[in-house]
Amino acid sequence: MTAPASSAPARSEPHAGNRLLDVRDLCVAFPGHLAVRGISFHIDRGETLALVGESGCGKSATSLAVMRLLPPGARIAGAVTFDGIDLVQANERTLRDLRGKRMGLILQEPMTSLNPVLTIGDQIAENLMRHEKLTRAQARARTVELLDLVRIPDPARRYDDYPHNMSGGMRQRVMIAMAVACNPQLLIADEPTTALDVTLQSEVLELLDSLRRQLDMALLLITHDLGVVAQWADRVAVMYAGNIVEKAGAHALFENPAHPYSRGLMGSTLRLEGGGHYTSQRLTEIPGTVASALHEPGCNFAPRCALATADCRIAPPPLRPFEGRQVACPVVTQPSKEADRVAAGR
Amino acid sequence: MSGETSSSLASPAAVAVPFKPPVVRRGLSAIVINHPTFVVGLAILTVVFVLALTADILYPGDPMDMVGPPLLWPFQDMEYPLGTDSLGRDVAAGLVYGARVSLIIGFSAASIGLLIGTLVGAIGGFFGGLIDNALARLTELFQTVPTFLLVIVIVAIGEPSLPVMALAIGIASWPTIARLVRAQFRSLRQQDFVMAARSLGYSNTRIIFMEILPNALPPVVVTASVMVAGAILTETGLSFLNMGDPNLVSWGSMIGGGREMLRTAWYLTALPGIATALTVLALNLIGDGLNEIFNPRMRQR
Amino acid sequence: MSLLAVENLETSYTSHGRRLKAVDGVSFTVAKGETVGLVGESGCGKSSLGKTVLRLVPSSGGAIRLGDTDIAPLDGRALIPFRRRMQMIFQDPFASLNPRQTVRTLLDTPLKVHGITDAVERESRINTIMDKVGLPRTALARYPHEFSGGQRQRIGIARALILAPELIVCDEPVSALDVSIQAQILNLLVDLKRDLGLSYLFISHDMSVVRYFTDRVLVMYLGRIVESGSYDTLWSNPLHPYTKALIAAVPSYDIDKKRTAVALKGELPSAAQIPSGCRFRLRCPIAQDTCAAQEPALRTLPNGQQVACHFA
Repeated sequence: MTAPASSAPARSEPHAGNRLLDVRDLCVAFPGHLAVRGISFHIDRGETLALVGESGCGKSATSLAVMRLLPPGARIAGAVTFDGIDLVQANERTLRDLRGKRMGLILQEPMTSLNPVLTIGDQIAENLMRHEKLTRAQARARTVELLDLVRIPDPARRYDDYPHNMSGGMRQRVMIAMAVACNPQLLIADEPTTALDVTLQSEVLELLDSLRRQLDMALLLITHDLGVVAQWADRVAVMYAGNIVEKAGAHALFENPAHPYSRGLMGSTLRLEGGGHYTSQRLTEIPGTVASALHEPGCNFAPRCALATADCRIAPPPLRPFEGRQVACPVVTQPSKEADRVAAGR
Repeated sequence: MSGETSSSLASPAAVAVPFKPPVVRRGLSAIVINHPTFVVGLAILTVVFVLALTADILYPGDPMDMVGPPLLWPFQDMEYPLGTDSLGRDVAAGLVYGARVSLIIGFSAASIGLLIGTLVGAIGGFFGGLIDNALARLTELFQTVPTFLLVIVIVAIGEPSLPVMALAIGIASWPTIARLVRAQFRSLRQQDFVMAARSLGYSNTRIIFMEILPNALPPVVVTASVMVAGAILTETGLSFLNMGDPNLVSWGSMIGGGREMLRTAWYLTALPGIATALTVLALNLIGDGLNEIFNPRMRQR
Repeated sequence: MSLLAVENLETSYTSHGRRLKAVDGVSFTVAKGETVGLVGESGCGKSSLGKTVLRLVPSSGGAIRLGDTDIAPLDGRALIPFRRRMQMIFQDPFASLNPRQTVRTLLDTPLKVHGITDAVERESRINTIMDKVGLPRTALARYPHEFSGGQRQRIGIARALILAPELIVCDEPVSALDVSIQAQILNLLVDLKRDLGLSYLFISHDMSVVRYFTDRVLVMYLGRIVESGSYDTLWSNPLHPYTKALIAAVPSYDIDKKRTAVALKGELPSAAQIPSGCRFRLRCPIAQDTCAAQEPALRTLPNGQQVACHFA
């Protein structure tokens, strides 16, 4: 194990300037398909960053690349630094020590993420025995504590249950318990509530958020649901077709989305309060599909964008600082009179 | 949750330049490149096919006729490149005509098995309930009887001719297909597209044959190619035991005939044996290849 | 007069040798040109209800009146003329289209099955529908896997419309789609309803979508309707604690609004463990002794809203 500086449980310092994960120019390629096209972002200790985007935007590939859990045949390039450790160069042994101990992962599907032939307690305990070198009895005791922590009623009895004895919501809690078992510094949650009912969604997210504060973890929340982002993220990176198009504080983004795609996403999302009705209001559409944009030389969003100019189709726009955030759109970030007029007219 | 990690391209130079997506080949060239064993199997089978088809042209006479001196070794006399047997019959001619018998038996027996198996499996799997229960028991009944014994009994009751042998082998081999098709139908009948077909008022016959069956076929085709190989082996076995059609040369009867002279003229058993083994191998390679082509391990997206 | 009138409908199925009711005495109507929403958690029986109404799963009691005819007892050929009057749009645009048929076959077969023998007429109907759902004619020769999720859902909608039905049961038609595509499909469904005078039974778990898209809402819990009301009454004044909880559980887009704690306890019990009295009482924040003893009836309030709760 490397990085002695931060492996000690000295977690008293505040978050400011305290970088945990730093991703630079990350590219992920699957055979025949470039999923992530050079994105950069960072997460500070204890904060929640949301990666938002629609299916195929590369958000899940990003999370798997950070964990170095991409399927064989996938290639990554760029730099991913976790607490001083270069994850792209790291060997399998280092990665195994990191995964499950200092980085936890929660997947969307609680039905398939658990091993059906092992009791849920043993699955959590195994992680503890491997990483924390606990004895079986210690691991069992700690597992019961963890099950209690994720608010599973009667944890000592549920230890010996098999996954099929549990409901979807309970299984997702078990997944969370497993992911936080070794007090990881970073928890990656990939669509953690998409497979759950609405009534469970806020409960599970609330749990994740309180664990984050309790255990002082950073959370990388991957989701397509803007409501989830508004309620649970500190900062947001909006992804489109393998690129980050806007990085902003959650407040700033929801107050005033800058990138045309962010605006379109907000506009086409239905809201429960203050939403319209079909008889009186038509929904804002983003025309076309993601596929229509994949082989553009310029901005990937240009074919679907109402503000696109001829310049947009020449070269991919870089992220530029704009109103306290970063936006990859030259039309929005350099407000000429033309752009203002067009924007105001919509 | 295990996963092999990617091999990373992490030289500093690679960082700046986003790499181009690798080219994915499609169509015929992809099959040739990605499934070489399938191509080898197909090539062997094609050769056997061509020989069987052109047997009359290559060896116009009756392969049962005595054409030369007995027990010529291969290459001893280039007029009979693979030698002659104890009755002076041309081994090469026998092999070529034997290929014809093997292929006819193989494909017709597999077709009969496929037809019965598909019907039984489809009806049982689609309708479920009592019909399914009855058909499943019937399938199990046939599976408990050893295939080869069943074939021998049927051939013994009938006559040792090609159609009877094909029918016997077909009747003995359908349960495998029936079980496979039944399992496919049971999962496919619950799919939304079948639900949609019912909501549109399609008849059961149309749903079974037009909607579900085409989707159930890939694994059936794979199994069918292995069934052809099995049928060829069964026919060889029958002929070896002298239960084949006495008026036809087949690989099995050639092996059977050469058995007496295994110590002195081993080529008489070895050559038809190799022919059988190669053909069966080819069919198995094709089966494996089809399986890979239908179920690519790495799906796109 | 209503287009569809469902009366006391029951659907049961056998699980581990026990007869369980997925739909347990549900009554509602859908008027011509009306959109009725059906909401509830997964497993509440809303999908079973939709499929029973379409006679895709058998009912075990009650009546399904389409116009003047009760179609519940009909079978086989007698049902075919009614099939063309009501159709379904499915949730999963990948599983609901036969992967081995071209779009043309998918749209042509229903017409053939329903006795339209004139190939020219079939062609013209297919072209009209393709225009209506916004797909190019070139799409006809292609297979479903060549399309994106949104386009596939358009194909599914085209297939549902090809027989010119009056009622469409939409089973979570946009849940599998991305947000930006969701808006496209919902707008399309609104246009089609206006142009063709369709009625929808719109099944969804997504409260925001149901609020936007429907004229009236039925809230379902464990096989029963627990509340129903029109757009104007239900959303501004939900009465049943379950409806309130469903609404409260939707995360707010208003970033300054404090998250409301979820009042619901536990998860939806299975149909095998229906509690005595009120089915919702074990999860209900306001349950009292009466709720265990007596099942509340669905009563109608003066404003037309219906609710099944002793304390609402």
